[in-house]
Order: sequence, then C-alpha cells, then structure tokens
Amino acid sequence: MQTVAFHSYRGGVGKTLLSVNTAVQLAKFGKKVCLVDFDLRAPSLQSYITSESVFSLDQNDFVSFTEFLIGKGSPEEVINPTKLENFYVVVSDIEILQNKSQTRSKLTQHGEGRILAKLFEFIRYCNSQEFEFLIIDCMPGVTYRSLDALVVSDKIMIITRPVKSEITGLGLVISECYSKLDDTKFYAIMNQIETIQDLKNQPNQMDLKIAQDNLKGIASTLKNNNLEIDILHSFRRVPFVTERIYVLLEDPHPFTKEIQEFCQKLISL
Amino acid sequence: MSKRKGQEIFEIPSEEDLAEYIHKGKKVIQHIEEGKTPIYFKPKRQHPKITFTIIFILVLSSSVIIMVPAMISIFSSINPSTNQTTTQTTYTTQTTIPSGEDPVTLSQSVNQLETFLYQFIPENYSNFAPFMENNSINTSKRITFQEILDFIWLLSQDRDSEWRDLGRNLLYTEYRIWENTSIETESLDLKAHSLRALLSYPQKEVPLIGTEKSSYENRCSLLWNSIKEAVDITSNTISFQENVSIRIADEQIIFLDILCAGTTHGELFNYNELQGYAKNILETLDEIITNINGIPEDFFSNLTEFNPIYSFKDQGHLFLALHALDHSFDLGSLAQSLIQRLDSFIWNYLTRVDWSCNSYYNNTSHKGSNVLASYDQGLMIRNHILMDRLSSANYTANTLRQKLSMSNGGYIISNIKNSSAYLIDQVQILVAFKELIELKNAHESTTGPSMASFWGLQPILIMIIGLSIKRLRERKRKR
Ligand SMILES: Nc1ncnc2c1ncn2[C@@H]1O[C@H](COP(=O)(O)OP(=O)(O)OP(=O)(O)O)[C@@H](O)[C@H]1O
Ligand SMILES: [Mg+2]
Repeated sequence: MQTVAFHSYRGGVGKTLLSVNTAVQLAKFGKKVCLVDFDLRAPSLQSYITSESVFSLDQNDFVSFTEFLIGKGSPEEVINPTKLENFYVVVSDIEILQNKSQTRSKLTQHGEGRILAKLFEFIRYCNSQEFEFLIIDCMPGVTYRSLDALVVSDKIMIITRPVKSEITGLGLVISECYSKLDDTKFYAIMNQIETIQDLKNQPNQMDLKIAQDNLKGIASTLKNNNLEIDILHSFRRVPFVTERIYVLLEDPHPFTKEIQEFCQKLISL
Repeated sequence: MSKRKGQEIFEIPSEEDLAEYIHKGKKVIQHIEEGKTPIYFKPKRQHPKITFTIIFILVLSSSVIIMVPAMISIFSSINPSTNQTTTQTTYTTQTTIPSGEDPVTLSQSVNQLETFLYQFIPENYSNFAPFMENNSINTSKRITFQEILDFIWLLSQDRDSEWRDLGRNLLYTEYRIWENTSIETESLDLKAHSLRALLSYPQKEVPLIGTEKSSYENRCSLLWNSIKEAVDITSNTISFQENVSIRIADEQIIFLDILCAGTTHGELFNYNELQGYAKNILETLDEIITNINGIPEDFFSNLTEFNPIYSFKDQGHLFLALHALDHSFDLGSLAQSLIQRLDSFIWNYLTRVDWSCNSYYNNTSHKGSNVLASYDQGLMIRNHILMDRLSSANYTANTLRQKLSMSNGGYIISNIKNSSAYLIDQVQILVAFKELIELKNAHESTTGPSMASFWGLQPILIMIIGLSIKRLRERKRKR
C-alpha cells in the first residue's frame, strides 16, 4: 500500500480538490483506495461526498475520524464504503472540535505522539485490508497534526501555486520541515498554472513576465536543497472549477483529463 | 464566531521541537511495527539530563548490539555465505507497477532483436534492407542515403561496442561519406543529416589520418558553413528551405544535434560559436512553444501560429537533444526548464492509459492517434530513462513487448502496415532496451545490502558517540 499525503504550506491551494478527484479516479482505474480527511482544522471532504448522489451517503452515515483518533472508535467504523467500487472514505467532523473542549484539547495539542500512533494504527489496518492507496488530505502549514500525516506517509505531494508569497513559504517548509523527513519521497505539484492560451485575451507583458518569473522561482526553490524534489505534474487553472468531483462526470471535463494523467504518474512512481 | 475555535488552536511547533517530534514520532512507529506498546513522549524536554543520558546509553548499547554480530560475521567471513541481517525496517509495503507476466526477460528480448536485426545486414554491407515485409526481406528495396545517415547516428548512441562499432565501420570504412562530393549539391536538409552522421563519433574515435583526415575535416567544415548560413538571425531559427517562412521542428532539432556533436570535435569547431547558436535557438523555442509546451510539427510565418499537429517523434527527439545540450553547454536553467515543460507535455497529451504513447496529438481536435509506432515507444522508453523513471520505462517496455506483434523477434508497427518491420525502428528499440537494462543494473547495485553498509555505519556510530560525549561535557560546563 502506498500512503500519499497532499500537503501545502498555505491553505486554499487545492489540496482537497486534487486529493478527492485523484482518489476517485484511482478507484475508477481499479485501485482500492481509501481517502482520509485529516484536515481536522477545516474538514471539507464530507460536503464533497454527500453532494454526489452516486455515493448515496448521507450526512448522518458517518462516524468522524476524530472519534477514532481520540480512542473511541475502531478503524472499521470510520471507513465508509461507497457505491463506487474500490472507493472508501474517512471523513472528519468539525462539530466535535467546536463543541467538546476535551476532545478539542486532545486533538489540537501535540498529544505526546498519541494521535500519531493512532494514525499509524489506522494505516496498518488499511494495509491489512489490502488497500492499494491511502490518500491523506492534510492540514496546511506546519502543525503537529500535519507533521503526523507527513511522518506516516511514504510520498508527499507538495501543492504550490505559482505566486510569489508561496515561493517563500515553500522554501521555508522545505528547510524547516521536509528536510527532516529523510526517508520520505517528496513531489511537487503546481496548481492553477496559467497557460498562454488562457491569457490570450489579455496579452499583458507585465503579468506574463511575473507569471514566468514565479514559475522559475518555484523551480529554483525546489532545486536549491538536498531533497531533489521534482515537479510531478502541473495543473492548469481551470475556469469555473468549484468544489466538485469532476472525474465522476459523464462528459469529459478538462480537469478530468489532467487528473487521469496525474493518476497515471502516481501509479508509476 | 465559534469558527475561530477550530481554526487557531492547533499547536505549531518551534523549529527545534519539530525536529524532535519527527524523530520521536518515527520511534513510536517503529515500536508499533515491532509489536511493542509505543512509548509516548513529551516534545518539550523537561528533564534534559535524564533523557539525554538515556539516549546516550541507548546509542552505546545499540552500537554494541550492532557491532557484536558484525564482528562475528567478520571473523567468520572465511565462509562467504554468511547471512546478512539488515536492521532496516519499513512500515508499509509498496505496490509497484505490475511488471507484466511476460516470461521473456528484457535481455532475452535484446537477444531476439539482435538476431532479427542481423537479417537486415548484408555480408558486404553494400545493400542494407530498409524494411521487412511478411517476415522476409525484399532485396530489391534499397535503403536511401538519408536512412543510412540516420542509421549511423542512431548506432553511435549505443554504448555497447558491437553496434557502436558497426556504425563507425559503416561511416569510416564502408560508406566513407565525406568522400561523397555530390553532397554539396544536395538539399540543406540532406547536408544536415550528413554532417550529423559525420560528427556522430567524437574526435578521438575518428580512425583517420593524414590526407584522409584533412579531407574529412574539410567536408565537415564545408557542410557546417553552408548549414549555419541557414540560421535566420532575426528569428533565431533554422530553415533548410530557402524563402520559406515556415519553420519545421525536425530541422531545429537536427541543428541542435549538430551543435552538440560539434562539441566533441574541438579541432573543428569553436565552442563559443556553437554555444551561441544553441542558446539563441533554445531561447526562441522557449518563447514560441509556451502555448502548450510541446513542439508542433511546424510554425507558420510569424512563428506564433502553429500547426496543430504534435508528433511524438519530434517531442522525443527534442527531449534527447535537450539532455545532450544541457550536458554539452552551459545554458543556465534554460535546457532544464524546457525539459520539464516538454516532459509534462508528453505526460499530459501523449501518454495513454496503457503506458504507451500516441504517435501524434492534434491540438485542435484534442485527439491522439491510436497508432502505436514502435520507433516512438523506443524513444519514450529512452525519455523515461533520462528522467531516471525506472518503473515507467519498464512499463512502456512491457507494453511494447506485449502489444506490438512480434515476429521472428522483431517489433512491428501495429495498426498501419501490420506486416512490415523497419530497420530504424528495431534499432531504436534495441538502444532503448539496452539503456533500460543498464538503468536497472544501476538501480540494483545501489540498493543491494553488503558488508559495506557495516563499514559505512562505523564512522557514523563513532561520530554519534563522540558528539554525545561532547554535548555531555558542554552541559556540565554550563551548570
Ligand atoms: N486548478 C484549479 N483551477 C481552478 N480552481 C481551482 C483549481 N484548484 C483549486 N481550485 C479552487 O480553489 C479553491 C481551493 O481549493 P481547495 O479547497 O481544494 O484547497 P485546500 O488547499 O484544500 O484548502 P484548505 O487548505 O483550506 O483546506 C476551491 O474553490 C477550488 O475549486
Ligand atoms: Mg482542504
């Protein structure tokens, strides 16, 4: 089994959109996949899943992953099979964080490695159930909980957008955090790349130059460390993408093709 | 309102705590793996002296534990079959791409291919068969001059002596291309192919002396002078057809090949001149292929309008050329950034679900062809190898071996002329397979456990112990 975490320094870069679509597509390619919402701060997988009728899952069907993490549930209880063959989901609930202060402090503090141990126990369980991919949607930035996900993963997908503020953040998170995870493989994923085609109607040379400089900035930030992080895939900025699972659509959406290509690479790693 | 609760309360470690958390987190994992109950920890050191002493004792005892069996194994090393135990623990099993249930190994395929290829090669090298139809060579078909030139260029890329020697032999002994004065009257395109073949072996491998050598050098210079005339200095592109504003991808790529090959002939070429051309052309390509990042078959008059057809052959050739350029010249990040973009183009548009590649892609209809050309698959494998993607290279090689029909050990282009096998295709696949075997061996030799790992561990252990003592002393001094 491969445990693949989607992480970023900043929030809102597309971790959830990419990890959900990737997980579903891998399942459609016949891989047994478990997708885990480990963004305990702002869990959003549940809304993706319940709004797609194909899964036929209801808001009330889920036991939150946080229950398991604090020692109250078993792995079987939190893993939800779906109508889509090979696709299983684990969702987290934000309510718990907001209403129960005891649970909250258990989950938010470093937990002396307890949450990490639970997460790892969960991964071992998935491994025993012959999952081929465990996809983890992480909390952004460097918190103890994102570290947990990073420590237990085999491969980490670092999502970045080509904007200046993220280049600095990327450099920071590489030197402070990733560089200390010595036996993990890192891959960079660019998201929301503008293509010239998309810019055709606004041939603004200044913007074009900034965009190109940012791409170069990311490439050199990825290069200037001893981790050897390659850019695994670049996703275009697709107009009118919202929080949906595009790979489920009958009509091929431009985003679907991109995800399919990315999945092929993931399988081949 | 209550949103804040969930948003801000997750603890962020300091840089020091972070390193420690990761370190201890891995220990927890290891304990679980080994079936022990995990020892939970406090990231912030409250009793530095105690924890430190414990770590120190742990290091000492673990080094003793590691050293004792190692010593035993050294003393018993008279017996070469001593078991090696590795202390490495992995906590998850990795799935790999299915390697295909092909009972024929890659080196067996290479053998079959070589046997197949010999059928094309006549005893006196005089009349190569360009292709085979329905399993038999049609001797009335003659190989063209350009095919011979490309054949030599391809053979020179094989690192193995036999095929590499064949190319050299054809160039310098059998065909003696530089003596062929009629090249001067040929098209620029053929001149470029000729020069590329003439330069395909580096200067130190040119087996010519005296007047032969000077006549060879003279031919190269003449060809170079007429080819570089075709560089358009305003657009920084090359065009082999006069007064035609369309730029062909293939021509740019051959020119780049020549520039690279030129660097291995220091007596004939001025390195700076070559580098200047390389830089200019790459910069132009960098600018004009930003559209979808691959190279279209041709660019129309103003160089910003493209033919919508992108052939894999061009992408694959450009990929090889870019790697060679990156190797031969100091181009900053130019070649690398183009390589990255081209690579992502290939993945995005030309790689199919079955791990083979489309022979072309039409940007207007967003359709790839369903033709599997063996030459293209060979190129694709070589592209993967250049990016050190062993598993992808393997997979494409397996797809190739399974999908393309094999007759007499040769790989035939499927879908189009189902019954023909072309010489150049077979050689491209041969080169690719041999490179793949080399890459596999390289990967294997870096992962095999050996006694070296123990000797490699020694200095690290000594260093850890040394550092521990040093830190202990420092702590005492501070007190
Ligand atoms: N390639 C893209 N093209 C267009 N829109 C995109 C693309 N990628 C992401 N988005 C949009 O950006 C927004 C943020 O994406 P998403 O929520 O997946 O990011 P995230 O990193 O998971 O955020 P958070 O850190 O808050 O969890 C979403 O509205 C999503 O639809
Ligand atoms: Mg998210």
